[in-house]
Amino acid sequence: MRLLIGILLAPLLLFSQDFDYSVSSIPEGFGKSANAVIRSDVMEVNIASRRMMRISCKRVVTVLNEAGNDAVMGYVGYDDGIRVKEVSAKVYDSSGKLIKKLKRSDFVDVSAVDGGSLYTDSRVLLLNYFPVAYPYTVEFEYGLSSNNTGTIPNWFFLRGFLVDVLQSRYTISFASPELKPKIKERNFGGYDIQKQVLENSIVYSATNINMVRDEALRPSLPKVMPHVLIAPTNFYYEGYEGRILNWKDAGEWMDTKILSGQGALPESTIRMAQQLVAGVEDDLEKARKIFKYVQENTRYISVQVGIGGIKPISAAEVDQLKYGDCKGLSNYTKSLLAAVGVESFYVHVEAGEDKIDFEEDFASLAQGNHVILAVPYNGEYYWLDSTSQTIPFGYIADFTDDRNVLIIKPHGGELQRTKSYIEEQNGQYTTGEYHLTAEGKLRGKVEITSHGQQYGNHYFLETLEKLDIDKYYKNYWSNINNLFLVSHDFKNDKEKIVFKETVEIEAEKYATSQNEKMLFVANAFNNPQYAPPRYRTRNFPFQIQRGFLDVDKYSVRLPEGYQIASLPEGITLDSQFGSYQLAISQETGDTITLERSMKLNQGYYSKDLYTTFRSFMRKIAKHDKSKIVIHKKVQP
Amino acid sequence: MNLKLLFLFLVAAFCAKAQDKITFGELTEQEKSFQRFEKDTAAAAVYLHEYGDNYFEVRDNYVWLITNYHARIKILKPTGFKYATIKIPYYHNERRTEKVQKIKAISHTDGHRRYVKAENIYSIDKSERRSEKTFTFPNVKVGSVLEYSYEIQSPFDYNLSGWEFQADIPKVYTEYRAKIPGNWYYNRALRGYLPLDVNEAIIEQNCFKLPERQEAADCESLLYIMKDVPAFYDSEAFMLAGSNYRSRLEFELSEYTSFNGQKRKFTKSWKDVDKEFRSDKDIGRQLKKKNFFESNISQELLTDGDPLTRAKNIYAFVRQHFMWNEKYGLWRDNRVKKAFEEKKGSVAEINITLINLLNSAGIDADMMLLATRQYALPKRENPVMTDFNYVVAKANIDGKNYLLDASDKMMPFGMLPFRCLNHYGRVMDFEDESYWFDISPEDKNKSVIRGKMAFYPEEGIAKGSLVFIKMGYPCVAKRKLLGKTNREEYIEALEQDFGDAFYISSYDLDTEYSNEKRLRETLTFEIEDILQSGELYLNPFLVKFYRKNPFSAPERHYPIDFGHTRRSVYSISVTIPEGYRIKALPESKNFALPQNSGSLRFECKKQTENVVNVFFDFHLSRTLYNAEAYDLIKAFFQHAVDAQTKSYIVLEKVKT
Repeated sequence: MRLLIGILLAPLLLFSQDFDYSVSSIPEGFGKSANAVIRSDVMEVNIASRRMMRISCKRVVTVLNEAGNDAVMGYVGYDDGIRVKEVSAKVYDSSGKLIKKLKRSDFVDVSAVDGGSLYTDSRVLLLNYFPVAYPYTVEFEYGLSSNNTGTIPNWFFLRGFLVDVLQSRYTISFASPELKPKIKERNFGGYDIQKQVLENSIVYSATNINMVRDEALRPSLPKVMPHVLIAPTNFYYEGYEGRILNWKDAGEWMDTKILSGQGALPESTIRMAQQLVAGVEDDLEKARKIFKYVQENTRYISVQVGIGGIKPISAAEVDQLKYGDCKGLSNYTKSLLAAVGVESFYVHVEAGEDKIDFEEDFASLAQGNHVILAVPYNGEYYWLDSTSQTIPFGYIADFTDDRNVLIIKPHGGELQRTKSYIEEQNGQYTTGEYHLTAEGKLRGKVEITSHGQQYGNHYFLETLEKLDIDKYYKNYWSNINNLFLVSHDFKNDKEKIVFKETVEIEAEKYATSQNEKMLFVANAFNNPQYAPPRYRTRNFPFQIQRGFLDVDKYSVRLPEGYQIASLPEGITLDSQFGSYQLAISQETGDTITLERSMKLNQGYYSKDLYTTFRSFMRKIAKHDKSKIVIHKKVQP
Repeated sequence: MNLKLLFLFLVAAFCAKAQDKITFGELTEQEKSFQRFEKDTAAAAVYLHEYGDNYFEVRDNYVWLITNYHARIKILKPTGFKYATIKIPYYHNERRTEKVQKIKAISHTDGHRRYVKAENIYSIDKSERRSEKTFTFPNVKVGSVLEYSYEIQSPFDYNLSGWEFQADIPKVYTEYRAKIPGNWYYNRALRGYLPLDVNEAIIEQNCFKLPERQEAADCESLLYIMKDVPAFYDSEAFMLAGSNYRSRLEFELSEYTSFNGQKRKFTKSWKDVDKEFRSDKDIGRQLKKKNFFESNISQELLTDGDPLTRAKNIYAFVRQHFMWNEKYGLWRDNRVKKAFEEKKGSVAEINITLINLLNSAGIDADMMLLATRQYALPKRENPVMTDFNYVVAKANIDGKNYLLDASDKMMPFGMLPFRCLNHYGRVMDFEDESYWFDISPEDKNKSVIRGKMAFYPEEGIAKGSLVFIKMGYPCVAKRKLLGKTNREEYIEALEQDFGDAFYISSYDLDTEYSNEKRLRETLTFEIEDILQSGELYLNPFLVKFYRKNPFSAPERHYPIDFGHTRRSVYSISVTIPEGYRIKALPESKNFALPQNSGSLRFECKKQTENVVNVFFDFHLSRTLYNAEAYDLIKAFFQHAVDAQTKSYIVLEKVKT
């Protein structure tokens, strides 16, 4: 969903007349392994009044190869509230000679409807230029104006990977002191970023920033990339004035200006809701029933037009249509809860697998991309995401868990941290047995019980068709070739949030026969073989966003007439990242027991520890490959 | 190619077995109680009834093509909710537009009927010429019946294009009617394997009349019905376009006779097409720019060397000169002069330029039309121009034929991009007649890896060297990868591919032994912690061509089309460390597919007491295997996977 339109914009920037566009003028040390070089990236934002913001932007990018084309970012978004006053581009060849000029009419004007929405009024003007040869240089510029001053574009000095930046400058100017925005600087450490404060403007600039490349387990971009957050204090947005100094103000503005009046439901629906909870005393039980009703009767459909980017469609309308986006559905659930006397609050959150926090000391309407509800009960909050028809009540792992969010209350907003799912709570227990035939075929029966965040990796199985379930297990057990799914059975305890799979499988030639011997990997049922990639140099810190605990125990029966030739040794590994144990023991003559546990801790680590972490994971992967060797019993 | 194409012959029989026309908004008891589609219980939704109708009508003094559409879809599972969102595409050009009108949509849920309101129907422009109306139904649950109807009023008579009998959900009943005045004639073809339940055509007399005229035209009245149509699934590996197999009826406007009696032929015979092409401003006339090109390139290009050398030089020049704009651009707006000047163009512009230059150099070259692999194979029976979407050059040099596409900078002379490997095309020979020509893909497609490896027990590592040789299509793919990644990333990705303990200590792209169709890379490596105590099981495959079987579906309904042949060869010699001896070697394997269509050979041999030679050769020598061969092919791949993942050289420490 879209809360507020992220406006990207630009300027009439002062550029010296004799800018050298040739590739040869790129200084030594830049453009060597990058895909593109940003020669200059300049934005000027002017808050002329509460109801007038002008933005101009000019970007000169040298594209060195095909992968660098994206660095031009040759597009400008607009909607009914934003006017593109000008947009143009010039293209230069590698010697710096002008080869093409593009006017506004040469740009392609398209709807920004993506796969996720039914409709939006957002549109995009796209630079329609196909390069003739690499490298080439584009100068792209545009100017916008908007009556809305509710959100002001943020500024990232480094916008992407494998792109060098020679000059980056952001200027914000304001007509009067009360229009001066709030500013927060993030991750400036290690970068030479100049700040200049004038009476009516602030300028940030940086020069000669070398590219970075993406790396596995990198923390989210706002945590590592240098940028400036900007938000207005006094503003106007789609018909409403506002003054936001802190999160309390932001919540109050949302509540009084945006949400109020959207909650009314028809009498008949109120009665229906009350009947639904008839006889139930406990508020949490009531909330469960209402949530279930919403899940069973509505679905997610996104339509974003104008103020609808931030304002939910009314509860009465959702009641009619039985669909809505995250705002509409959450607001509908909230109204139904109110109808049965259960209090709940509308919550803005930045959703996604990456945990991105609302900034503690920096209130703005631009943070967040999703809406959920908070239901207070016995001194804690239960978090409800009304956009899913299948998740259990209060379950938010992997999408809105463990992050600062804005709770909107009638007397103002407050930041709260959502529920986190930590190591032991994210348990996965695998038990079972398998036996081998003399031909090396595996026959096994496994039970996998998953909890917490790991529940989220499994419970959707319930909704899949047979063919897809088959595919899922072939992929889940990619360590077992020739997997054949004999049977499966799922139990989804939505109340306790536990998912249990009981699966029978067979696999021809799981064991390899060679010269009277057979060998096979002991750990058949939980063997992900994950080791993070090696980097010759690591640039970013790394983060394990969610920890987990896996406990496995299975017995292995040998084919008749066989005995053990060799058993792998067990091991215990302990590190700051977690622990791992593997024990393989002979139970009786032809039965072996494998016990394994692995715990990975949630954490944020410096880049220096990456090699240690990698070697910890590699050791685990290696031990998970330990093989048992058996041979035919010698006749006495 | 086993493509089934049925032509519908007009039969002047008449008996309507069609269902009575249904009334909008009123469901039958059967529809209300319908719970599952027995022939496919996995279906998430089903068309209970689908009806389409095309006819011509005079409105405000214009003749319009009218389409009526009416459908009822029942939602059977929550995963079927996506079928509650409807998109109705429509077209426009600079002057005229289609209109979607009279949209009615209603959801029937638990006995409640709810209309989609006009304000909840949106128009979205998708591109310059395409737009769509979109809406979603309110109050949708499992069990809902979603019903909608609309009319399209079109000024484009060529948009009478047929009917999709098969969709990605099943249809209980689907009916298509068309009433076409004798002034229009459309070619028609039925694609796919499913038979029609009703197939009727009758002549209706005096059915169409222009207001200011006396005489009336007769119409052909058509009725086609299919019942219990299964869903069409097409996500299997190595498959031609699903549209080759999906059941649908295709129409193409062939001839129009205006009411003044003037005839306009669109397509009829290849003879007509040949003639049209010759004079078409976007195609034939673009082939006659000899003078322009001759004055814009160096003359040596056209004159130096023997014909094959000239052809190769011209091909290299055109490939180098142009940046492909990622469009195929066969039918419209081809301007080779402009493209040449701007140094970028569509596939058609680039390859028409190529043909111009080849002709200038005295080389016999024609354009060949084809359909890419995303398209259905062109119908051979009669020309349907919209079957084609691509053009390449066909050159005949010293009696040998070459197919050339200069739009891909990495494509060697005589090879076509993978997207073009779609069996055959039509060569537009403007001097004689056009003719069909088979595409024979490059046959030498090989990945060869040779290497040696030795152990250093005191350090716990193995060291060695590898040579990679790629030929044909694998070579092109590798060149593209090298072209878009920087060297460090490439090497790290390569290491990652080998496994986590593999380090590349040196890497060299061996240009001396490489050419367009062959690429040689050499590297030296180290593998960490490879030796354990006691007995040692060593998998000699450092690189695995197939880690997993690409075929996992239990059955297959469509032919397996690899596009080109494939061969992977791996050989390595492993030196055993001192203090160890070879205890056992993997068993050899030999498999062959019937009729020499494929072979697999794997063997491990002791060369000396402490050197083992490993050899693996996997060869698919055909490009196309029919669906019946699926189990064989699947097993064949499985043998290859097993050989690579489950073979061990067993070493043991020599007791001292």
